[in-house]
Amino acid sequence: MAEENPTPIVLAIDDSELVHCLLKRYLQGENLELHSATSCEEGFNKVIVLNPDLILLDIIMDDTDGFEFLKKLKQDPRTKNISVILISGLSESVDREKGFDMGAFDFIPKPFNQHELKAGVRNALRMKMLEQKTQRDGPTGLWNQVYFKQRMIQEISEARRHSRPLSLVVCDIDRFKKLNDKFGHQFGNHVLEKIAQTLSSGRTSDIACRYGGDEFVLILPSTNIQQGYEVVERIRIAIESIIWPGNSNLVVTASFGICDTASVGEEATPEAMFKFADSALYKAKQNGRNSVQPSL
Amino acid sequence: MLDDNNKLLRAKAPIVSTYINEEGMAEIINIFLDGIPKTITTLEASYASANRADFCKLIHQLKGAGGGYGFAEITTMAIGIETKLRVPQKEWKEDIQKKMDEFIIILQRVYASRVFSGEL
Repeated sequence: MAEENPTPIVLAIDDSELVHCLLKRYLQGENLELHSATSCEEGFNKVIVLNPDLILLDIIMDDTDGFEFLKKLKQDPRTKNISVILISGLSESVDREKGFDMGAFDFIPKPFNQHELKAGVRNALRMKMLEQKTQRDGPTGLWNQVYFKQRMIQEISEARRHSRPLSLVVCDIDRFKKLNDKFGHQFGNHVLEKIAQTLSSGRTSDIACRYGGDEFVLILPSTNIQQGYEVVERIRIAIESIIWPGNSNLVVTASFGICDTASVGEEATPEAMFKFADSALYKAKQNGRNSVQPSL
Repeated sequence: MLDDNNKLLRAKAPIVSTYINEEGMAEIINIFLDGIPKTITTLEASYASANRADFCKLIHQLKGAGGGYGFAEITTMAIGIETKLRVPQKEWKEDIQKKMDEFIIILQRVYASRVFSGEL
């Protein structure tokens, strides 16, 4: 199952050390990991590294206007889904309205007391948790198709920004319908779970998602097609090596299609990459299944 | 500066944080109070040198933090000054002089609560 962070990460960005001291005290004992930044520049760097669940953002700061910073966060595919609570001495309704219009989750006026701060933070984190649940596939625990599409946008943007490769794998269980018909749906579900586990037990940086039915996708950041091929070949062997309790002679296999940003070219979009990897998967099926087919 | 003013500070009615008896607050309130002498010095210096940007920044920070530490008087005074500063005027110093004097007294009375609580 894909790894989940049990402790939410909260990043406070405020140029006043006095406010950081208060936040630290008020949020002590809450189930969260609090980080701090005293400028927008430092804050953005920490956002990229930490990928926080929630940002507490001051509006009036030395280096950048908090609204500008919020705009930057919401325009960047890597950060646009992070919840932001504006904490500011600007108390005019027009400022609140502007913040909400720009995508802020909440607005807490300064000076704040610990009860309103805690309530605001808990509420935002609760919503975030619910949102994450809607991005999970129930039976396998992997990310679902909705998440996959969002994440691909982020990963392609990241790959472009840093001139790094990115590979996408589409995987389909061989003759899954026959398995279901022969051994029943309960066994079929068990196969889906085990294959999901195998797909997500590789490198921690890889992102395994269930695309639908017996089809899975695997995003391989910073990985070109040759490196990706080796990763997927190990997964293919691991799947065919699974011993199925009560059916020890049974061999379940899967077929894979893989492409990378270079093979798709300049126009690499989530849709284009999926199409390339899916076409390669089709070839793998045509060539006898249980294989990894790179996109040519 | 505060050593020189200690007598004066003791003579004034200290403003005690409304959160002083809340669990775990005394420690951070004292940290806030320990910073008050430097805050007064910086505030006076930026005012004296007519450094409007630094002055506004400090007033804004005090507005946000003061009430959070249980000193609503700081926030109220800072709001008054900030409101006046919103109108860009060459004579901003003269315009807020009275409020500035009052604000320094408030800060001194707040600091006096540190001395006061230290003597208990």
